[in-house]
Amino acid sequence: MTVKQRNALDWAKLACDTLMNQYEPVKLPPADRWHYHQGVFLCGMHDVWEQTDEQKYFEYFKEYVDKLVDEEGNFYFARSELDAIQPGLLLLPLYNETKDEKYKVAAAKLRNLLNTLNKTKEGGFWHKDKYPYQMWLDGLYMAGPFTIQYGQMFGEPELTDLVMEQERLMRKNTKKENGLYYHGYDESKQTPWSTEKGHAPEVWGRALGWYSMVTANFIEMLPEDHPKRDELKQVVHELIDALIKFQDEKTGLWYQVVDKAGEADNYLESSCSCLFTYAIAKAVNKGYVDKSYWTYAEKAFQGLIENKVEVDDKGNFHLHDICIGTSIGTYDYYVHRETSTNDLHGVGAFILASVQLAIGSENKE
Amino acid sequence: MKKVQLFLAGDSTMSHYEASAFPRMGWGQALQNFFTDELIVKNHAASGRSTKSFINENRWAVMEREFSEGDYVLIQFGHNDQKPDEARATKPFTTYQENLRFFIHRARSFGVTPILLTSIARRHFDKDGKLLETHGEYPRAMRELAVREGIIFIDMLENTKEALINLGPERSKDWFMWVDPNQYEGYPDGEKDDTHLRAEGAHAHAKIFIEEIVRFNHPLCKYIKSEVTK
Repeated sequence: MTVKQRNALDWAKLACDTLMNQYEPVKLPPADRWHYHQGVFLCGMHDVWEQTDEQKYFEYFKEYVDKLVDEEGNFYFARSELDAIQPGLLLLPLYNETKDEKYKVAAAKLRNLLNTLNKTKEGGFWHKDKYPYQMWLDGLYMAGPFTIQYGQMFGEPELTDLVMEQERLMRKNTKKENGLYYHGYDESKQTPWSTEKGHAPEVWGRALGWYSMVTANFIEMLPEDHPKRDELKQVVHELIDALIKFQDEKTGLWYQVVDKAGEADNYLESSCSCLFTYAIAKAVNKGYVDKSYWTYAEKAFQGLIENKVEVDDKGNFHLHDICIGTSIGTYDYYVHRETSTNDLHGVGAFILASVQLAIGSENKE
Repeated sequence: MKKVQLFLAGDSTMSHYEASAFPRMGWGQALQNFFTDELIVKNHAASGRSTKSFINENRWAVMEREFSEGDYVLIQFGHNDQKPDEARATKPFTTYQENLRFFIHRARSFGVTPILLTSIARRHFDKDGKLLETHGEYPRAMRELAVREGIIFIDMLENTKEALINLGPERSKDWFMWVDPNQYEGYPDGEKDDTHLRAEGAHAHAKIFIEEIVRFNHPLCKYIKSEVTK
């Protein structure tokens, strides 16, 4: 028996198909909710749709949105947090494809959150009211790309600068000497984890993963002559240089607490490894770093397939060792968080990375 | 060496229940399991109490007699502060905050560290499976007070809400007093109660609290049994 060798796009499709067979769109966990877990996964599916032009993928993420957003563009979402904005990334392509006004109305509701969310003195958005005075790296991905694209589609180009300012504040407040970034920042310094400078005590993989992905994605969204383009290219380059220093030699993967490989109970975590793979592959594909970096992305992807991915005898895809939803905390908290299999954070990140690998491999041929 | 005491001041969601009430349990009742015997949980939480009735019935004063320097006290009220009767009712941004401030300052005067906790979420899903908000302005009033007083605050409401949403309307019944008729001796007619916890839920809620103190690396962490976090 010969086993067909899967390429990166095959892996992305297998991951999508497995979950599509398991859940109707609106029942993806947490069921019946507008939530970034589904948002990340369906953004991955969106990329697969673009890459393959297979309509079933488009229909699937459309159904998720249509079951939650009514004909007038009404829907329930958490109104005090950046996380609620992320699935807005599905509304924009749906509007482009269908020109149905309800998607635009719903998107405007998310855009208007930016008028009411609480902010730090410097103007940085609080991550959620539950975490007052705190900026989290995660938030830049949750709200940034939607905000820029919404502004460009609907006549508010100044929103780009709003997002760039958020990015600047993240960098200013969370950058570590080794080139990585701490999980977040507490302006009030009241949170028990807060360090003297206010930043989080540790570098958490997935949060840094979002940041690496989003900065790599921002560049192409900026107008050609935007002064931030060169600055962001440098940010991306420096971050990737720092990341590859902490890539596990043997597996090509990254640790849950990225720069503390040798410490007790730290482990190689799947979702951050996917997101860093994405960032590196995307940066190569777009020419932000040179082609020699491709080997790091390839090694990481191979490491994921060999160490974290399993295909069962029914042909279903499983991605293991995905850290569940996690807040800012101390070292022990991060390394003792539970992990799960096929958590959408992780599968979504895997699909996104796979598509970048597929694009890069195509470019080579 | 003198053992550290962890006092609990709260309501029925936290309090102790006799074995005859099994499987009903307050989450405070499950807490000792997570700690080594270097720390003693003293559960003074009592059913039906608000900040106001807890003070007026001398329950706080009774607890104070056992305070000793270096102890901790968890303060979790809200469910009954929103009740309309004179004996219990408080207003979030006036009397509720005043009573909490009383607890904080009294505890500090004994060298006891107060920790504020918002109420746990009720299992109230609407017909579309959305979890409803049932605690009014009390959680926000507590959060604001904690920031102002610079004291540690654990948002049990948000954390338990997240947990309930993840479980969904069906599976979350296992955490609350949803019992079938004749399933347990104490409940011949069964129960359908979305506020009070059963053993599984008490344990799960205590774990949520433990995870939060680990997240903060709070000094209480050194008393957590090592097998709990590993």
